[in-house]
Amino acid sequence: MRLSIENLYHTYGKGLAFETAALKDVSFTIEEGEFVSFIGSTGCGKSTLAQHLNGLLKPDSGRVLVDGKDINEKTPEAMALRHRIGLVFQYPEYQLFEETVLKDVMFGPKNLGCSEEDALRRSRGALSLVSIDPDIFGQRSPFELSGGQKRRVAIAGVLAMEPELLILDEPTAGLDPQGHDEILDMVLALRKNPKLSIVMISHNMADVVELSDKILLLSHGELLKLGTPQEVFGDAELMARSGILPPPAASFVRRLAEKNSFFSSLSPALTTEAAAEEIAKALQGKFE
Amino acid sequence: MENIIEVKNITFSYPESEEDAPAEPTLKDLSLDIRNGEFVAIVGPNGSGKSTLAKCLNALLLPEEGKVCVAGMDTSDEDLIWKIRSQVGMVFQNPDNQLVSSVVEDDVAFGPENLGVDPAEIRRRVDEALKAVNMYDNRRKGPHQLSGGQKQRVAIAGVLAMQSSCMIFDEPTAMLDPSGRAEIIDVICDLHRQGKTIVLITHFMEEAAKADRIVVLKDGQLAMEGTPLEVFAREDRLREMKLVLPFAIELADQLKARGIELPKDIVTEEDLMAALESLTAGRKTAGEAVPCA
Repeated sequence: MRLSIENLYHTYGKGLAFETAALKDVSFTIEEGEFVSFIGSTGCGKSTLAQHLNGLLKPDSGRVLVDGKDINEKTPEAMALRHRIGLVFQYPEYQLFEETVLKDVMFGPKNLGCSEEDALRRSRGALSLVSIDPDIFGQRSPFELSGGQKRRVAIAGVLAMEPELLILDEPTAGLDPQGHDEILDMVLALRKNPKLSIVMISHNMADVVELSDKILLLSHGELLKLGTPQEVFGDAELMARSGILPPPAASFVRRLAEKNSFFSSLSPALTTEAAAEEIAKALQGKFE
Repeated sequence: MENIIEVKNITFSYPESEEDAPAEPTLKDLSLDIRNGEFVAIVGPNGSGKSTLAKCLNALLLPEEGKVCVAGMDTSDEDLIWKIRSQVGMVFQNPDNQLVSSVVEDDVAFGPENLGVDPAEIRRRVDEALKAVNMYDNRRKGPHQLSGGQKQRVAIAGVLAMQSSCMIFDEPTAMLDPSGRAEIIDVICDLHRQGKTIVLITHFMEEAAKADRIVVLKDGQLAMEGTPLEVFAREDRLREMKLVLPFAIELADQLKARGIELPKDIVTEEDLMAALESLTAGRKTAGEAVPCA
């Protein structure tokens, strides 16, 4: 599926004293199978934008199009379009409610009108996708699982609806390093499906660099840039303007280039490996 | 330096839930002393007992065996509980769960008011606490108008206004974005410089690297302990526990793997920056360097 946003505006508290423009004239396209990360400081409009992608919020003006069709029309067809987009909120494990893991995951597909049998098949599949073995965990209470496991079950609940666009709002926030790695591995596996487009909101720039085809940078409700990780993080002026801290490797290399004249012509690096490579190359160049 | 907190051989289990409850206690025969004015970081995987330990330090939880003393007071003595809690303040993970009032300065005043402090003194303490966390200009705002990092700073001011000598932070930055995190860590380091005893529970090794001492917990026991340098030197053991090393150490390791000679005592980015500085002292810019032979 191809998702386009056209000149989207959104204002919270319209006509009230605390009226704030959350999104201003945002336009972009996510191609089928693409991985796009939304980044920006707290309050820049990332989550608001995410909630527009599946019609949870309605724009003041502008359109959200799936394969050229508006998802906000009041027609059954538009509703069907919205069902093809799955949104996983922040801290989705707080939304688990059923007695067993399997029942919880089946809630979504059943709500879409799937038969019991079909919902079960989809849910078992979704649980396997998030590395939760349905035979071991299916009949357990979701509340007995670890934080990382709970979160993966909650994500499976959305995957069971078989979305073509999956939106993950800060999927690793608040997890310990192990829980974080589990989610990261899961996202890496999901990413291999060429039909599935993924949008991830994240403050972890190292993850963003590792996963994204493109990065969408928001600041005060405006789209500052949509580009590759290199294009976004390599642009020092843009980073300063948006108040975003680039991945640790990128900031280190930049500071090194500024502070130490020997490294002044060091090329930007986004990952620790790339930074080590660049620094080593510069240091050893002289001895070759 | 005398110890403000002494933990002696404590064991703690949570009450069993109906079925297959963990038979293992959350804390097992754990001992730990914290010196006055020290900055201790507690790290470890989820379920290792970090938060349980923190709650034992100000009598929110009482150990089944062993004892915890705060400034010489036993936490199991009910008559001392309020004295202990005014000595040891806590800041938790979720900024939204900690603010009780609809105005920032009222929120900070809540603690001292509860202790029956004189109004003029409360005013002085509130102003001072808000200035210390750089939130004085926002004193008339409502918590809903603040960012997560700002809310956490108000929560910290609330503890400061109680004039606790020791502050425990239980993953104070877990729910914040990178700039909010930096704000909180700066405040914590400032408080430490001003002489407060700091206990910081965190999953972020960059934050733990700023402490005087790191304590690593695993399965309710002390797995490792030492200065950041000593703890980070035992990489294999850390990786086994799924703990990630700070960025500067990772980068230094990768540089060493590429044949760059670096000193062993690199923990922070500043250390690495300085090491690279001394390697390149007197050398020209890399791009312009003339290859010699």
